[in-house]
Amino acid sequence: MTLLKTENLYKAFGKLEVTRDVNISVAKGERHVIIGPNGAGKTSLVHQLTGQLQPTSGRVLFKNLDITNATPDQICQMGIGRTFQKNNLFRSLTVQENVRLAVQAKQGGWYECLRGVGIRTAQLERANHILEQIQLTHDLHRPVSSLSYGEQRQLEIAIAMAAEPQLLLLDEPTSGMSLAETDRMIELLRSLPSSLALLMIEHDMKVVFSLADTITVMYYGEVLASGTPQDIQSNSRVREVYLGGKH
Amino acid sequence: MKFLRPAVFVALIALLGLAPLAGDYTLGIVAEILIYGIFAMSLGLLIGFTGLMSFGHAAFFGISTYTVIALGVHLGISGWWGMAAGICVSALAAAFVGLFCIRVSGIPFLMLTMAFSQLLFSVALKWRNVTGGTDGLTGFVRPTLFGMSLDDAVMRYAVVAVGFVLVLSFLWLLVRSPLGSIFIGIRDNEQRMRAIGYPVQRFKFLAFTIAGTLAGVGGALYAFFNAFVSTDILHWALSGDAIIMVVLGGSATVFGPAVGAAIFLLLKNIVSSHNEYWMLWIGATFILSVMFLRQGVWGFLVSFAQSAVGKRK
Repeated sequence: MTLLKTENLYKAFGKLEVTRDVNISVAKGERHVIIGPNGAGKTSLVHQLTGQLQPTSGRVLFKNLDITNATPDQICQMGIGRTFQKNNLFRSLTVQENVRLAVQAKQGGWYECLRGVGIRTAQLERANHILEQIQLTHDLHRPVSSLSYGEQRQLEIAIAMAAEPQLLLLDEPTSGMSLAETDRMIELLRSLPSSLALLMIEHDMKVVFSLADTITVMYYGEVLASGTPQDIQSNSRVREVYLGGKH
Repeated sequence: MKFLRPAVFVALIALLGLAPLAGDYTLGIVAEILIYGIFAMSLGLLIGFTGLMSFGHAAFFGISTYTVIALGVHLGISGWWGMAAGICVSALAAAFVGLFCIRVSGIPFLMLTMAFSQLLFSVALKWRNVTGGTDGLTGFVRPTLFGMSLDDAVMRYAVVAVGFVLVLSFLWLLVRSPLGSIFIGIRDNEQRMRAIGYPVQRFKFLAFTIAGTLAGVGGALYAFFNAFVSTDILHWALSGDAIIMVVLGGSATVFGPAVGAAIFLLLKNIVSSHNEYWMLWIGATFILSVMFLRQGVWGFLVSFAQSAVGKRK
């Protein structure tokens, strides 16, 4: 079943074309990785899928609904979670509160905010459960700023998971991580429920080939190739521009 | 931290209860501090807890004062009904202005809030039939409570003190509620709040309206306190004073801005009786506070108390 589909997605900033007729699709439970050199338009694409950027033309369909003009909060409520390339946390709050705030967004209509404390207990339980799943449990009441960089990357994912997404967009989850941290992140991503679809931007080939069902290669805003890891590895154009040579 | 808040609350109630012993003159100053404390705390909700730097907050304070006094002077309506009307008018005005202002953020937000408040200022200046222009409106008869007129300094003070405690308690509950946590989240990281599913604009609008309404509570009490209103109350300088109060006291706590209001008004009262350059001293205090007490005076005291308790443990 196709969860997410883009139709001729196109985005230009003046004369700079960052997304050129991109057609990709993600199925339920699929692990789809987007690779490509810096400036290939990967993050711009993710921004268009989650409403942070408006495409110039083309459509984004999620569960056959047109979400091209939806706002980020609406898209999140529909079931697409995302993380950011640079850690994008609530820096003055504790680890637990970071996740609870995201749980609260999902659990109640906004008027629920006016209700009492009982609802808070349920939210905290849910937050703790997610943090356990993401293996961030040793001190929930620490401020975010005291976490290591790798732990902050994990928390990024915990916050996105709180929205109970069916599709999770991960923008370079292992960027800036040490080798050991990267291995832990691979384990963590593997442990996510298999019903959850992942659309991931990644540079680290070890991560790419250990997780991907499908790889899409982007180059100057275009999809150069898309297919199984074997297809991509044997694709001569991909080898030429990306995998081969200095890489 | 857990016992700090009740301790502050008990100490505050005790101080407020003892204040009438200090005589009518001092009581007047305390009442003024409490009124501006409400005003500053309401702005603190925007600056400190939602991250919205409003430079037009005097509009919602002043429009309430004008409503109470104009209804009393022109139509002879009792101050209590006037108060209800004043707070409602502030809420509506804040909702209307908020609708436009929350569409932008940062400096444009600041300029737009200021523009709206200046608009109101000009209306008050020109609409002389109703507002009395620069001469202001005199002849407001203070209402009575339990058969006693608020012309009595202690009665007037009591009403103001009750209003202050109610607003303070409301804000304490609000910032700890789920709604308050959303405001804090917006202050911390607006983009992420959107990405985790919050319609951020709606909550900014809500914060702006709540803050304007609370400023209206302060404005209505100011009408009782002063029984006179002129255009000064809508001038941008008062919005600026409120920002100074918030920063001076500390914007990270609910109570901080009220402490800032106290410091501001005490400096004004004490220094101005000795020398006419009281603004200079407030300016100097403000600069020193920003340079050396980044969390504000109250913020500093709270974190000092916390670390003292932490060490003992």
